[in-house]
Amino acid sequence: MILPPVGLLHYLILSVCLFCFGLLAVITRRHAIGILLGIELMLNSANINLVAFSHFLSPPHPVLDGQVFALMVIALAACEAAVGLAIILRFYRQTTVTDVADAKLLKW
Amino acid sequence: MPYSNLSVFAPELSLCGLAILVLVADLIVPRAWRRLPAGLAAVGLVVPLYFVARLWQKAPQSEFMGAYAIDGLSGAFKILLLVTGFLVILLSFDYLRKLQRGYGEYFALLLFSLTGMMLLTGAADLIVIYLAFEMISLSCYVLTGYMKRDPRSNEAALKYFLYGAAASGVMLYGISLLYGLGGSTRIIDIAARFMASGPAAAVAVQPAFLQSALVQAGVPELYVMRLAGLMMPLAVVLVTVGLGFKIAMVPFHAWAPDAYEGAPTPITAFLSVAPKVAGFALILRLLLVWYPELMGHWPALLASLATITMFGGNLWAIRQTNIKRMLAYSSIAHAGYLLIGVVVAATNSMGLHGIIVYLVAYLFMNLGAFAIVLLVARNMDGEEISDFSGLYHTAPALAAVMIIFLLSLTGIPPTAGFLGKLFIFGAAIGSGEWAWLAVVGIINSAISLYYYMNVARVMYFGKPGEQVLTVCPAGVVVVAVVCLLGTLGLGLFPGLIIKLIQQCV
Repeated sequence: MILPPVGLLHYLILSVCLFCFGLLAVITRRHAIGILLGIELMLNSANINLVAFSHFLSPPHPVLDGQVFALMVIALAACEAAVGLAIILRFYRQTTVTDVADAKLLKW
Repeated sequence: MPYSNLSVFAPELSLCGLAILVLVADLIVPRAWRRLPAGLAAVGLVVPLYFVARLWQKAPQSEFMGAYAIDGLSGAFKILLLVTGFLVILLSFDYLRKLQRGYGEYFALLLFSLTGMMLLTGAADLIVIYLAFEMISLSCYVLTGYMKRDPRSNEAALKYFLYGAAASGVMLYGISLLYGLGGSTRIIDIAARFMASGPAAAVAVQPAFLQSALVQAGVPELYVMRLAGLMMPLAVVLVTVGLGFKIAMVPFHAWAPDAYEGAPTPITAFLSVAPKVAGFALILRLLLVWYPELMGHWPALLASLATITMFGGNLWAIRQTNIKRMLAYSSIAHAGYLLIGVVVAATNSMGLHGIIVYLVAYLFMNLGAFAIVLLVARNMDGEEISDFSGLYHTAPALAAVMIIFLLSLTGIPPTAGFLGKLFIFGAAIGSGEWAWLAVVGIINSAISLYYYMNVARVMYFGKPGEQVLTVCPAGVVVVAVVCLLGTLGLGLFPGLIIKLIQQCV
């Protein structure tokens, strides 16, 4: 059996799956770092979209925009993880937990 | 086009330079001069303000191959942002002295986030939009958690960060879909591509790559059309989630009350005004470029979101006992009123002017209210509404000024808030189609009267506390006076500002 070549659709399906897993992790995880991982999955699913679109877009359009965008997103994801981990660490130092269900000083 | 004209970028460059200067000055000056960077930050804001004012008079143009727009709209928003930044820096002096934490990084972060907001007002490219978005968010997360020994501040930063990062992830996915559908990252090129294929574009546009890819993969023709037609609305909704987070729109508002309550009070004041200004600038730009080709149903979506935002903000505000939290919910409600303006702005320039007038009014009245909260909290050591008890007896002038800000927030003449609401509701009624939104807005103003006047009741009829007001930091008093003049001036002499806005935008 000969498989069809990998096309745009396959990338899109992959990215949708990745995005949904990321969103699921953000919603269901109670560990702050687990949520952060889910967010990274969401960012990377967008990256797959960007690179795939950039590759498959028809020739008259600028081809590299999406790839450059993806590079920017990777850099920003790193910044976001750095700031996020610092904030999570401060929270951990004070409460000795990283479970977001324990963040209940501020409510309603 | 090999080189872009950097002079149009002068406001952002000078602001970014100022932030770096503040950071470096904090490192090299001796301990005795520690407050120098703070003064530098406040005085230095004059430079970007000068550049913005100079560019404001020029014809609209776009630079960096269409990625950045300079026009009357972005100019007006930039001036609003710089004024907000200046007032917040004045509010911060005394707060930081009491906090006994460093000055340099605080003001540098504030200026960096202000730079991001200025970028967002002119962003005309998906990459710039995302970068500016993150620049604002990352600085704001850190500022929210600035009191690192205070568990509430830490918790606020954690919640703000987790919500914010998730929202930006969702928005980025929407942006990546928009890039794929439009074939470009410039918002104007995306619009042009959709315009070329007529209003039924959502289905007709993708054929070249998406539909052939789907057909190749063996998906039946009928489903191909349907799938392609679904992608555009999905992308728009995902982007709306990100924007809704930034301006604290219900149901993406959950971070706001917690972040506002836990953050240092000057930062709360900053968060309640500046990101909203920047967010609305972006919403308006997308709307003006993309309506109606890409976003035919956006006004209807925003109208329903505006309704639940107004009701949600006002109804939750009623049960608050902490004044910062109450103002947080009130700021959510104000985002709802502003959204009415956006809905109308799609078809009518009255809405556009209404939003800017409302934002000017909101800036003065909200920052003014926060200045009074700071003064009271400084003396009473608490931020509960009960700390305002009997303020009329211990500090009558302060209570009177607070009443004026509260009346303005409700929208009662002759204050700035009345003028803003008059413009926005007037535009909604004038548009015909959206007149019902004005009715919802007026009902909500009536609801808001209840909780604003509750504070007034506590101030006038509550039992005065033991403490009297002894500390009156100069910076905070200056902000209160400026905001009072702005609130009353705009209410009593509206002609000036209206003329200026109609001329330039």
